[in-house]
Amino acid sequence: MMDVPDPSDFPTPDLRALDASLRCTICGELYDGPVMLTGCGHCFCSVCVRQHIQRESDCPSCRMKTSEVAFRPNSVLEEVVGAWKEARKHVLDMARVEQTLAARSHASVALQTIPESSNPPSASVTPSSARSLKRKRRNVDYVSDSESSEVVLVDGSPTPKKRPGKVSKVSRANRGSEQPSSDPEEIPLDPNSNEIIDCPMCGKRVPLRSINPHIDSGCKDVGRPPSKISLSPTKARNNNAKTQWSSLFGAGGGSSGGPDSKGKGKGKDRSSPSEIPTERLANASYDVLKDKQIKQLLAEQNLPTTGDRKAWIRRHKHYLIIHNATLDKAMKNRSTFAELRQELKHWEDEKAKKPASAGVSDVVEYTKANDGEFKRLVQEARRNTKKPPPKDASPGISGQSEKTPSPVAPDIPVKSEDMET
Amino acid sequence: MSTNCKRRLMRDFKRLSTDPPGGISGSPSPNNIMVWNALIIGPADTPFEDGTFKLLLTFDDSYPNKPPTVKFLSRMFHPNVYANGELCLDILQNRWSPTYDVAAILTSIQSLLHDPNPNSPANAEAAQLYRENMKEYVRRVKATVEDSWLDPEEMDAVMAEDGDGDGGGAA
Repeated sequence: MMDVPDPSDFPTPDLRALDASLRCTICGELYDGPVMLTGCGHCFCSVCVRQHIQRESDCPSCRMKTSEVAFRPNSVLEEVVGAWKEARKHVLDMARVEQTLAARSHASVALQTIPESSNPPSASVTPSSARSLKRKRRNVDYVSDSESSEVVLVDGSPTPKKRPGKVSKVSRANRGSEQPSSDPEEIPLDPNSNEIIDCPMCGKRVPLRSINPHIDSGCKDVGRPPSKISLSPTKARNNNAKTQWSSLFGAGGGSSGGPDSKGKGKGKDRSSPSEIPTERLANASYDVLKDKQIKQLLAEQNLPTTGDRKAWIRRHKHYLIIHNATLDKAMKNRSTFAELRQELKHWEDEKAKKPASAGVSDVVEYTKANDGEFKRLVQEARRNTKKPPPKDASPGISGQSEKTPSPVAPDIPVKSEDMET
Repeated sequence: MSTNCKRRLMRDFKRLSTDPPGGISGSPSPNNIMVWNALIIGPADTPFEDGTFKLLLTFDDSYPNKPPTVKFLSRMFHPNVYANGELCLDILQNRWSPTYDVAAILTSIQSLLHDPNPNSPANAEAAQLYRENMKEYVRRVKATVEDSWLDPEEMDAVMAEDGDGDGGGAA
């Protein structure tokens, strides 16, 4: 199974809360082009909430009525998330190191009763007092460092090998050598720069100019060397010359893309205005449109007209979503027309390979076959019952759960209208 | 199937594992992340107390924009559960929100157990007893609680001899 980054990656509740607060409650990813709904103020990825609004005209969190005109790009949050994407890996590494050190030091306290000056009389350290000691220490560290921008590892944590004071220095040095450009101020902000940097998520070498699309794609596309222009449309065209799609990847902007696509072809610059959407597309009332008119809509956006009327509508609808969603991002984070078309194709491809629906036909047989699994689940559920309610466990996750239906609302209304008798 | 959907389900699983609500567990089946087995323990101080109720959740790639299909595998006697195990629960139908996750769904079902809505009955007999004959309702529920502890083979035997209509939920 694939692994996904998640607040639970962090060992401590405070960092989990931070990570959770920067994630969309619909998709669970770090916000991608966050928009705020005026009215209730809730935030979602633009794509997520635009997809939702196709079905329901309310806020997914609080159900206040809303519509696309109420969406406002949240550029401050976009910046914050961008910075957190850069910092997350380092913070995660440091938090884990801290946890390991703390665990090791507890072990040594318990076993050897080290007469370390910073410790209370260690002979009497019990597990619980050791825990409270750890908590206290951590608090002190975070507080004392709040003024400097550096996060410093547990000063004063007694380890068998290293002397307390050195820990932070060592880690700081490591950090510097591993990732010289990790400090936001050190990054040259010229988006056209040819510089290659390490991706903060996957560690691969990626041209600075394509780092955002790279991260947005889940670190799948490894950026090509800058000399070849990482987003070369011609390359894409050659690879898939047979399909109608690929011939379109290289084509210039749609009708809204401004002047004709003279930037087409080799040497095209990503930031060239004709390659990046700047105007919103309006929703169409497909029901009243003739086939020809719908095809026309697709043609205007340089989209293929393969498939039937249903396919055209679905394609145009989704293109509208991703097109308008990328406009909710800062200019430097926006997708080009070619990238949008690629994304649309990827989306259609995934839709196409539907898995054989794994419906369970025979309940009794299924239960028998999964008996072992259910026995394990019974034990697990029993264990969960015994532990005290995890109220204070993780404020971050509870941030999500306040939107969940049940524990808060005892009046779960059981629906009555469209029962399937 | 969509990668977004699978990533979301992986996160749901992580959340359910790191911060599980009391009396609830669940996990994707080993070979298909779109099908989950789940278990709810009947809440204390209700007729369902200590029952171990098995559920099956089936997702399609429109999740979380659309809710999964949820059904009880264990036999149930509850005003809002159909004979085939399907549920009548608003948040799994017209009150669904894409911000809900598996933990939220299972918590909702857990609280539905002790807080049924007899006004939208899926099991008319259970709803009527709940309104008019609480003692008999409790007796019937407790029978399903005991059924829920049985091994599948033992359950087969119970189902076979179940001509007396004791299990309102029997298909």
